[in-house]
Amino acid sequence: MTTRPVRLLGAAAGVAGVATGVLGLVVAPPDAVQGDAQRLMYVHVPAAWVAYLAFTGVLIASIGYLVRRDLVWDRHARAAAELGVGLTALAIVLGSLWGRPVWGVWWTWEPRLVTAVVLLTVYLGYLGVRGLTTDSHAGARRAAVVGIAAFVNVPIVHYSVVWWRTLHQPPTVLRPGGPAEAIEPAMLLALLVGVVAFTLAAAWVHLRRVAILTAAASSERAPKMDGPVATEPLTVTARTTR
Amino acid sequence: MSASWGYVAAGYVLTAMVWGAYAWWSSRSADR
Repeated sequence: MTTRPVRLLGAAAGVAGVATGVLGLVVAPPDAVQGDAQRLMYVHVPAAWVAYLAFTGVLIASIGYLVRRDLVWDRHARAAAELGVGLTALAIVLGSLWGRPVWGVWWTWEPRLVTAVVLLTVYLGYLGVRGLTTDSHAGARRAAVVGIAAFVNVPIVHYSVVWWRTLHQPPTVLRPGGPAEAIEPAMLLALLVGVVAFTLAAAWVHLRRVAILTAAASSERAPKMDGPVATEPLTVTARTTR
Repeated sequence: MSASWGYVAAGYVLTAMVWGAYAWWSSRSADR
């Protein structure tokens, strides 16, 4: 069941999403060096940040499951991983669309790009691990271990542009020493509204997915009503007719 | 209008489609 707060969350995400489009495509000025292609930053960066956030959610929920052994934590971990995988894939494709006009190539074997693909592959594996057993708690335990270990990739992706400086630009806001001083206020606003929109939308999808997974788990536990019904043994009484 | 707008438009449309897909996917039985 979708509750009123969840619906309000969805509405707020929609409004913030439209605002991101207006700010990113109309209000923010074109970049002095990259021109209009830089407008992809307002969706590329939020996709990457919220993917990091989702994988942080997987980490927390995985620890929560191992400590409490309650499957509700496992459902949160799964829903967060599903979001993180989709948003990582989106960030990679958006980066490719941005790279073509600015770098001249759709793809290059560059540390940020390669580590991002490794991140995506590891969490696809995480989702695959979940399907290896039908035992809910055994599956949750394995997934939690993988979910904790996989998180080491997140800081590697984020700091790849600092540790191995090649083609991808370093962080503009979340960088060592604080945000870049020269960022245009309208650009910063569009970026921050984009992050808010993606975060609200992710929270909305996450809560709805957890509700689905909870309902599915409840229906699995409930007794089956459509199977054969146990009845008293049929007895046949011989009757003679005279 | 610069050629870059084609890439920008593709990126924003793709983003909207991804979120639309998530909204559909998370509604399949959430409203039961």
